[in-house]
Amino acid sequence: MDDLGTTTPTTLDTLSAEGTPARWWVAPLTLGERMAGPILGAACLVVIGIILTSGSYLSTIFEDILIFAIAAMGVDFLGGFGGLITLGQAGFVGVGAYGVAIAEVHGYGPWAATGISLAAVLGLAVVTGVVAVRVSGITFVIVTLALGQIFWGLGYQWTSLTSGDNGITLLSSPSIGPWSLSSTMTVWVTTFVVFLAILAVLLLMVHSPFGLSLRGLKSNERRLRALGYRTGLQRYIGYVIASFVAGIAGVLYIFSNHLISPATLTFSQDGFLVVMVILGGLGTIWGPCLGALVVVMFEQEISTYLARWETLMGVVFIAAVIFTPGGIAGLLRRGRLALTRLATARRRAKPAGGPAPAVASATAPNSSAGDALDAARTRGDGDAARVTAAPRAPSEGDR
Amino acid sequence: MSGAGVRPDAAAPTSRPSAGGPASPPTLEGREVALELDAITCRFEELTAVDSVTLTIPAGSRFGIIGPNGAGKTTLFNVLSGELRPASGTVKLFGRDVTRMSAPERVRLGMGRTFQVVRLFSDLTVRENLTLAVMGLSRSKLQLLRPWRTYRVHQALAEELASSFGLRDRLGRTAGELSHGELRELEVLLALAVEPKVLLLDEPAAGLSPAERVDIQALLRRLDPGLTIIMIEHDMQVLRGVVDWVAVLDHGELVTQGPTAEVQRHERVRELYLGRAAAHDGAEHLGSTTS
Amino acid sequence: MTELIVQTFNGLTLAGIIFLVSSGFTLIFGVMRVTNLAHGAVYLLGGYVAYSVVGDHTDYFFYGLAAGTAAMAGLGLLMERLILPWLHHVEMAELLATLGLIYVIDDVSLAVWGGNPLSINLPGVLGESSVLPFRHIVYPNGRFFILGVAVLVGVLLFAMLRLTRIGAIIRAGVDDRDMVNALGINVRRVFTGVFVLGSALAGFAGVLGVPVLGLYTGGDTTILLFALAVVVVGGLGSYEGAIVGSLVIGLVDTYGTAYFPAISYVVLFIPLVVILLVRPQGILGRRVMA
Repeated sequence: MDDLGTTTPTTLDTLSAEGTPARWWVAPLTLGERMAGPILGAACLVVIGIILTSGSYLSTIFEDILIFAIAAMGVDFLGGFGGLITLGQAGFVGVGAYGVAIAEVHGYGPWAATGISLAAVLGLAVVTGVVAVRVSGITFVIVTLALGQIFWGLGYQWTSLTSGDNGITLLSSPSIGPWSLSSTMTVWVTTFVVFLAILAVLLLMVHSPFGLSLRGLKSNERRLRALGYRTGLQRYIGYVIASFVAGIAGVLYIFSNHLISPATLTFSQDGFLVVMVILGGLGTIWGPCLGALVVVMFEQEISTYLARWETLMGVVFIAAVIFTPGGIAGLLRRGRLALTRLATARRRAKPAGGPAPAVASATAPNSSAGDALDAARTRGDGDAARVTAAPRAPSEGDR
Repeated sequence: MSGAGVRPDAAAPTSRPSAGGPASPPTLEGREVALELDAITCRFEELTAVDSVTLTIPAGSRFGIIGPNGAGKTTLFNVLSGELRPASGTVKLFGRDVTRMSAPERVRLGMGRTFQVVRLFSDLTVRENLTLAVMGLSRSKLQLLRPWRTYRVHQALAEELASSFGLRDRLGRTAGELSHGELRELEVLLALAVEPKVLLLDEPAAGLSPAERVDIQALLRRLDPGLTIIMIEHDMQVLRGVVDWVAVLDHGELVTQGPTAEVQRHERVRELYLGRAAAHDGAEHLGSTTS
Repeated sequence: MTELIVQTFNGLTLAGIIFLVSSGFTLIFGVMRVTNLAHGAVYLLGGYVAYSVVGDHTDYFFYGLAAGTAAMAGLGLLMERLILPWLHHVEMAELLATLGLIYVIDDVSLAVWGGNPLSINLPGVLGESSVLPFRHIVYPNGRFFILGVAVLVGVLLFAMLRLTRIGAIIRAGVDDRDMVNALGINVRRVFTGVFVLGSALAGFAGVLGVPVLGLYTGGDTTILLFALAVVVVGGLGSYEGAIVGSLVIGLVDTYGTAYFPAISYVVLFIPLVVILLVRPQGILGRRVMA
């Protein structure tokens, strides 16, 4: 404000395309962005190491983790960035898997079946999206839950197509020459490669203009509309992308498990995907991968020691919602912040001589980025009328 | 026009002395009409918030809307910006009927607005706020596979906007960390970023300290003279410095309109402002001719 | 034609049960803005509790009804006092926490009552069937009883909302929470009361629903889905909307299951889709400014 008198008036048309260069690299990266690389790298190495040194049982578990991680990343793309949490994602995993199985039953080869399946996923996402994006916030959760249950209901009731409760077994797996998905190792490597590709694409997307506008949508839809964004279209595109990602996970699922039944599409599975996202860290893309690891380990490993693993998982999840809204990613960030603070305090203490108390101030450059649920705590919901926290500004009394 | 002296574009060739009487709309010959409201009516269940308001606002004018709380000012704004569809009546933007158009479509036709309660992307940085705003009109806002930080033109625009109003060193801060005055400025910047031809300002000085009010007033005066500004304001002092024509709303009805100085002398307006105990500051703002 | 009449009666009975569940859901949402996804799980648990009380003694049915209702009222109290205060009225966090609760409640139910389907029969004359005076339709008395009870509860709730002071506060809370706060009413107590009432309604419906829908693992998802469909169709938070929505969903689901068994779930969602396209706020929902 102090330079108000000295600067010349801004007229936007005076700015040419050759204006001051945008020094985007100077802008601080959020901690999440800086940490994503190292953590992922480390995780990948560990995982690959374990796979190579163990039998096929573990590799199956890790396939599951990767497949659910893919679907969960889709949930996070739409939920963590656009604020639209879907409880129908498992439905699209199911469509992807059923699509391949049903097409094969009708005589198509595995490659054609994959194509048909992905086309079906896209088509269904495009159609259901028209309905789903009519609403936002809580109602979006409800509507996607209902849509997911339609897919479950179809899988369960349309027995002539889906064999009902028994499910369909995969007939054959695709192959290129010697690279055949009928071998466990090949399936694993393929799943891993697809996982990495989708992770990369989604990370790119959330830093794209569209990703930024999704964050704007979550933050303040009304303002975004006043800036010329057709927010319905954005929700729609986001929904189709998230659903398509789930469909890809579904295709991998059938090639990995060779069986698809309605059990994969139940509400409980929809919930698991959301649990993965929240446990891992909403709004990070990579966090849900850790969430998938945790949930699948609960399901596959802890369940052998503890029959009531679902109770434990439910309690852990509720505790996470209450105490660590940022999930595992949020915890890691907090830990890292604490370390930075400690380091700064030491550095400051040294020149002073004595062992000064660790009084660190303002070391966090960008502490408020991330923690998506925390952010949700301080803002009104998308539906403008429901303000959750007491607004600072005077209320909009004037009609 | 009697208030032409305060307007920055007083010397502009399009500006001519007013031909009409004091209560006629501020039409100036040879000037395009920016906004035309015809018998706008808006109802919330039983309450009629805006009652058959007709206004003509020429391009390049500085137009103020005043009135007590609940007069329907913000509702009228919501109708103008496309967030609210009127029960009846039409809105024309540069001669084009936009009554049924959505808010984003109107932005594309050159309408920008601010909100009475600051509406920013409070968990995004100032840079991200401004980037969203400058990308609002470009096609690249739907780009999926290129980081937004690499769009140099847009980044340059965002930085230029930030620098012009002293927010340059705040680019990396989240909007939630800004002071109230800075938030108000950012609010105006976001509206300017979509390169509006018509700018709607809903109480841009609300909640600001007297010093900050002077700042925002200066900010508004420096805007491009060709820009049409419509501004809701409680504080006549702020209005007087910026606008030259004022329309007065009460209970959803248009009470009167005219050059700022004349409206201040209007009997009903003085009743509205002076009749209420709470409007004591309105009294001094309205001028010295109190009875 | 006879078939259609029977299916219509079935649909009305189902609508009655759905209404009891969804009115609780919508009251909780309307007043507290809490989306209780565990509402279906509470419904199922109510049925299980009643089963433990009734067992083979059909005569104990009404004790079971009382026990299931009371137990779920207690569970509602626990949820409202122990979990919700931590979430500071953040709607999405509340929704997610209740999602977690589903796993806990369902898993505990599974541990206690096992995975096999259970049933409770209605006592005495309610367990028998009568011949209707037209077309010689034989129809179970119990279903008329259930429908009658649902209508009675609906009327009582309506009277409470319209005629009592508490009801006035609740309605005011749905319309404008700030106003209730401003009136100096102890909102905390109203919230607790509404949550307990809503959960009790779910438990009550859970017991009444057993003779019609059975008692089985996964039954909670179906009923939750019905309730959600009702509130989307009728309008989230609207009591009258819950009545209209229940009738629509109950009848559509019954006809769908009877005439299009392979795709009855899709049929169920036709009203949902139509409403979302035509009137996203629901038939009786009020529009929040977009």
